[in-house]
This record gives sequence, structure tokens and C-alpha cells, in this order.
Amino acid sequence: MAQNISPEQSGAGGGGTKHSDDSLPVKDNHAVSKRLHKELMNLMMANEKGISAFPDGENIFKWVGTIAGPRNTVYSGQTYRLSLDFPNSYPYAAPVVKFLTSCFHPNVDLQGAICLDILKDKWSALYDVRTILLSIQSLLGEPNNESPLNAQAAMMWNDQKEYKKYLDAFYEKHKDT
Amino acid sequence: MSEESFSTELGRSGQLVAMESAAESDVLNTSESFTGDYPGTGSQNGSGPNDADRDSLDGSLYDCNICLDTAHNAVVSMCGHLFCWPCLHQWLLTKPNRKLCPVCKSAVDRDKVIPLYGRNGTSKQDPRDGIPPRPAGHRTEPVVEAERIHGFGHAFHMSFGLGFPFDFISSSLNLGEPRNPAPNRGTAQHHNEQNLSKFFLYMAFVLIAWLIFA
Repeated sequence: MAQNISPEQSGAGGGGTKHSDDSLPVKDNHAVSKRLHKELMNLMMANEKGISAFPDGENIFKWVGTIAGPRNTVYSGQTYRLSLDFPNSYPYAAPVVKFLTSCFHPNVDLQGAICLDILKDKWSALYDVRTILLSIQSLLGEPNNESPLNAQAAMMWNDQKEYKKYLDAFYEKHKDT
Repeated sequence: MSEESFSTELGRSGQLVAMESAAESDVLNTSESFTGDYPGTGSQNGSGPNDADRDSLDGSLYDCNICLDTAHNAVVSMCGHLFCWPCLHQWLLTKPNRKLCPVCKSAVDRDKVIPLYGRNGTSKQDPRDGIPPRPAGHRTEPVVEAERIHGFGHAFHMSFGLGFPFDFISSSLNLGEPRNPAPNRGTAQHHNEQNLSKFFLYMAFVLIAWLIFA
């Protein structure tokens, strides 16, 4: 009989913790969405050249951003779409940022994942969508070839003429994506 | 005579007021020019003055650097950056090993921030005293792996039973006889086992009733 009761007790305990789990993120989510709304307002007011971002549909936690390839680099003239996925712990944790447009770059893999320190261990609560997109834009022109995700791109980077040629062929191939 | 001295007094105090207001506007000016070269935002895109204009337009000079809202329970770090204390506290909690200012990455800690008290602040309480309640840990039921390192801890069971009809109450100790771990809550198996254990409980009641009344 003792055995029969114990699961019930542990069940009640489990239910209790589950309840407090449920009640907390609601409050947090409110603060997060408030900050994201503010960022959206600021972005729209600032009307920054070369970058833009907007929530993807109803969900304020998922955004789609665009950045223009920086001028005087092999990427100039290109436009890239990115997805920004904000965790509930934002801005204390970085959003997950990925390229939606295929991007041939030393620090971007073919699935679109980006290797950028400020999105990992160098993240600060101060960074917002604007600074993230600007950082990625400047990363395009100044890759970190020390820790490449795309080794081929890192090897080719030194010869910019050849790189540009390859890039044009790459975009011809990935036009539809 | 007295009137004259009064007017000079007035004049002097008037001058004093004027001087004070000048000093005040001076302070405001310097603080505005300070935000002009705001670290972190201006340096990254090189549009510093534009940023400053926007900031002063929004009146966001006193916004928390984390929640981007007007700072409440405001504290300022030694490096001069403004935060709501709950926001900064949360940030310090997420990085217990590297307590750095989110803006300029200088060292920041509970004792290295200064609470701000405004003119109309109703409470004279140190904002740092009102640390927001710590968020509850996210506890999930562990997936019970059949770990039998010592044999005893997991495989010790005691059961009471009713022996019919002669052993009135018998108890048995089982040692070293492992049972399957209890299935996780919510699974179909768990449900079934709950029903089964209820069924046996009722059976036991029926038996006891039968023993008493028969």
C-alpha cells in the first residue's frame, strides 16, 4: 500500500513544480516581447541603410532580417535574408541567427549557421537586432579566417579576384534559394 | 534704506537663481554632449550624431541599457552606464563568472554600482535591497535509467500483504531483486499502472471488509 501512495505524492510534487514553471515564463515573455517591440520601433524610426528587419508573421520572437552586401567588398550588390530566433531569456541570451539566403563565406556554413563571437560567448544584453545585423554585415567584408566554418571559402579568400569569380558562379547556381 | 538693501538682496538672489539655472543648463549640455559619443552604438556604424538626435528626441537619455525602457530602481555602474537594478541583477546572474558591464565590459558588481534617487522618488530604499525573487529552477522529471551500481539502493523493496486465510498479516523483504523503474508520468504505461494499483487497493478493501463481516 505504501508503494501505491508514493507515486501519487511524487506526482503531486511534480505537478506543483510544473505549475510554478508555467507561471514564470509568462511574466518573462511579456518583458521580452516589450523589448522586441521597442527594438522594432527604433529600427523603423532609424531607417538604417543596408539593413532591415521585421517580425515574421504574428510571432514577435521570430524575425526575418535583410542585409545588403557591404560596398567595396566582393559581396557588394548582394542582398541576404536572415532569420532571427529569440529565446525566452533574451536579451540575457543571444538570439539564434541564420542565413536564409545561401552565403559563401568563411564564417558561414552551407546550412546558414554563422560563427560570430558576439552571438556566442561575447554576447551582451546591450546588443540588439540592429547591432547584430550591422556586425554580420561587417563580418561579410572582414571574415575571421582563423576559425572557418567553410574551409574552402577561407582558403580562397586571399585571392579576391578569383573569389569574386567563384561567388558569381555560386549565386548563378543558387539563384532560386 | 531698508528697501534698497532688500532690492539688492533680491537682485543678488535673482542673479544667484540665474547663475544656478545657467549651471543647470550647463550640466544638461554636458550630459547631452556626453551621449553624443555614446560608446557601443556610435562607434559601430559611424553615425554618432544621428544617434544622439534620436536619443534626445525619444527622451531615452535615461533608458535602461538592457530593457530599453525608462530605468526604474535605477543604478549606475562605475563606468557610468544606467540600468534598472532588476535588469542588471538578472544579467549578473546569467554570467556569475564574468561580471561585466553589458555596455563597456568593465568589471561590475553589486558593490560597484550606485543607486540613483530622484527628487520625487517616494521610496528612499536602496534599489539594490529589492533584489527580484530568483526565478524558480526548471525542474523536469528525470528519465530513470536502470542504474544498478550497488544493487542495494535501487533493488530494495518491502511489501505488506494479506495472506489468506491463515497468515493474517505477513510481510516480506526482498533484497537484490531489481524491479523495473517506474515509467515516466504522462505515458500510457504510467496510466495503466496507476489504474492497476487502484484496482488492487480496492481489492484489498473488499478483502478486509469480507474478513471483518464474514
